[in-house]
Amino acid sequence: MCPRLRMRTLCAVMWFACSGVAIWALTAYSFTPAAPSPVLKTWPVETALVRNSNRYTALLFLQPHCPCSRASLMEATHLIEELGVNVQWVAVLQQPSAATGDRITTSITALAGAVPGLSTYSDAGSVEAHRFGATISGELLLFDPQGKLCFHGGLTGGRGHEGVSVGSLAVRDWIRRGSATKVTCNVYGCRLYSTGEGPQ
Amino acid sequence: MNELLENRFRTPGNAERQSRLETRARRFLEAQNQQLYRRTDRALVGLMILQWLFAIGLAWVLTPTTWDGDRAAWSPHWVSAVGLGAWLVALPLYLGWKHAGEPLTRHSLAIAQMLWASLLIHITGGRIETHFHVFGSLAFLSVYRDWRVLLTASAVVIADHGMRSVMNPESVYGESAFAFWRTLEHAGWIVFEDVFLMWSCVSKTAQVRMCARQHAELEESHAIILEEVRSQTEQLRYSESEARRFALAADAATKAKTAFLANMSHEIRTPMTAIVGFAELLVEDGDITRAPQTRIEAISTIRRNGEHLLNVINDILDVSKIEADQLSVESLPCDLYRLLADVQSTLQSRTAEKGLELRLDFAGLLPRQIQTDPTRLRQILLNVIGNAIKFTSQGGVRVLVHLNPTPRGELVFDVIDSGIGMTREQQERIFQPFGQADDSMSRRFGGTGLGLVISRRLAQLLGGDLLLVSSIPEVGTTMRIVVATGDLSGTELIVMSSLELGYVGSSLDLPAEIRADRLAGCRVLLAEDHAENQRLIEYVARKAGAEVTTVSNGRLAVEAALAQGVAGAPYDVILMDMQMPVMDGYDATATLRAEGYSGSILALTASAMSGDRDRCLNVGCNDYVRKPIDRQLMVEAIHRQWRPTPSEVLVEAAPS
Repeated sequence: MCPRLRMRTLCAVMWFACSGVAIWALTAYSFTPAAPSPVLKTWPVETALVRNSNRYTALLFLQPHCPCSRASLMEATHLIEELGVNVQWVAVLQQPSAATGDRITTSITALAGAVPGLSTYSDAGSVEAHRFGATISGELLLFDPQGKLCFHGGLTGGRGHEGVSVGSLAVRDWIRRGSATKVTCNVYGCRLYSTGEGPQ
Repeated sequence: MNELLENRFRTPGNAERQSRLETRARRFLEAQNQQLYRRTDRALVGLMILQWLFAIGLAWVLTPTTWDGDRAAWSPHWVSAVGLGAWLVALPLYLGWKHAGEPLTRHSLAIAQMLWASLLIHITGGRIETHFHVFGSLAFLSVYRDWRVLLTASAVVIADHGMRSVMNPESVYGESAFAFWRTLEHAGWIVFEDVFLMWSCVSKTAQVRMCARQHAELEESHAIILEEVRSQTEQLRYSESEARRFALAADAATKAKTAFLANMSHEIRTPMTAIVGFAELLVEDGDITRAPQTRIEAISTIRRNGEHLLNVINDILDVSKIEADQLSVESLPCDLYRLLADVQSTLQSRTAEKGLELRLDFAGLLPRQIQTDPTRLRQILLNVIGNAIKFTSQGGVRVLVHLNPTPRGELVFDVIDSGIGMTREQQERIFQPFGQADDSMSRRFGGTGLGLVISRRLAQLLGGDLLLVSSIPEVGTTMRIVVATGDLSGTELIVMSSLELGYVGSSLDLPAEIRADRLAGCRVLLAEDHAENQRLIEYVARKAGAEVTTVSNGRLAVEAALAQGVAGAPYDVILMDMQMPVMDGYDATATLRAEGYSGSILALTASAMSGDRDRCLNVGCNDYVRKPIDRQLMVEAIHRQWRPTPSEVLVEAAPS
């Protein structure tokens, strides 16, 4: 092998190695879940959200700007179609505090409003998110008719990754069988509010 | 050609040829592969640039930012689309630009394309449809026809997939644990595609190798054919030069033959002029009726045989012209009645000798004048009617003339005799050269057998034909001469009366009497080298009343003519023999015309070749008289030049 070809081969190997590292980093980013946070074990009394005592209540917290939220919303839509009236579905959409008077409208909010069987709630100043302990867009809290938290986690297998996931399978099990092996799973998405930020 | 190639391939050096073909085929294959590699390299580089732009746009639409509460930051997906995309394009772009066609380039491109699949899958959030990019890319890479490239690409896919399944099994299998069977299933689909694509690569390569082999064989065949064409071309050129040489030789032979004929014509006609002329002179000079009968018959025999010999010479010359395709005719106004009367008058003695009747009948209206070659028409009529007389011993010959009402106008002469007739076999031979009806005819009646051949060709040149209408042995023969009349508009159509000539009873054909005062006062300069002809022409001219000065060559003629011109007493007519020593008639005439001599010059020539008449006129002669001279025609020609009248037309002296 001539020296020039050897040099080119070496450069190509290095290029390939660097490319591999970059892909690995991207993969790591895509599949690294958000840091878990403690959540309530039972339905809080002071919340403005309404729980149905005859069926399960699922709260899906969404950041309207988060691109990953679309995949979570789509997975939720599939579950709504599949599980029907056994669950009361509520999309809790984060909004700026009421004092600013602003209201965020994005494709996510529009999509959430258009899904049959899904009611929406504008969470001004992330009050309810703080109350329920939800921190990540796409985080789903499933309560049984008695108000006990059954499942807490995301509906996607990665950032913006649609398709079958541990979370969606667990929700199905809870609704259909009243039990599941999983009570929690990773959540992939943007933060609903900044770290250390309280309700506004 | 196939036989040629097979023979070449069966040569003893077949093994060497096979080796040469293999080497050549391998080179073709390599060249073709190299071309394919370069083309595919560039196509893939182009595709990658498009993918990069597409990825940037896609990331911008799907995940431009990531959010921490209400604080936005650039999304790692969009950053990757821009930065990692640029990185993935960089090396392929460099290698495709600088090192297209090299193995390293296509393997690098294969790796890059598979990494692009991974990047796009990430950007689209792992959409299952984006995974088809992997299969599409493998198919694209198979265009290289290099199965090793597919292995490299597949290895990258497997590595990427493995990394994902380890880092987040849920994203690959939908379960949180690594599932070996699912891995096998995923890998199986890749292997499935790879197997078929590799098989396709191998079979296509085999086909291309076969094509390369065929190309090599074709190239060699082409070289062999080219060599053969070159060889054939050389042979052709050689043959062409040979043919040219033969053509030149043939041309030279033709020229030699023409020259020989011209010389022969001159050498025979010149003495014949003296023989026939002096025979006529013997008849005219004194009272021939007082001579003993044996002397009269001897003179008549000399004259008749001299004329016969001239006829034979003329026939041979005409046949020679026909063979050389040099026989030509003129188109002149011709008085039909005078022509027929002349023919009848000429044949008078022959019919008289045999005690036959020669009758000319005219049917319907006939033109007084037609456009034709009168000399040649006269020759045809003399020949055909003369034949009829020759082969008729009792009864007579009848010539029926009528106008055929065709658009172009045809004059028909039916020559009907009551002669010996011909059998069918004899009829088939009469138009063949030297082919009389049979050999006994030649012995019995004489003749060369050329007359009808010449007459038929002449009739065809005159726009008609010569046909045998019917012939019955011991009953008679009918021949038909057809000639074109030319334009008859403005020509008077008249009813002609029959001409009839019976037996005269004299065996001596006396020449026509020339008037003694026809040329009285005419000063003639005769330029003639042949002493006997000098005496004969002087005698004829003087007898017609002319004053004759004789010189023996062209130079003397020029000097004499110019001297008399300067002295103020120019000659009225110069009789210029065209073939003389020192200076011939052509040069002498040209010199005189160049010196401004404007008097009449009458050419005398014994040559009978085509173009002689034109040649004489072209050098400046006013008219043309052919030897052996017809005394009356010569006197009339001199008279025309001396005292021309507007109605006189050029009448060429015909061979008698």
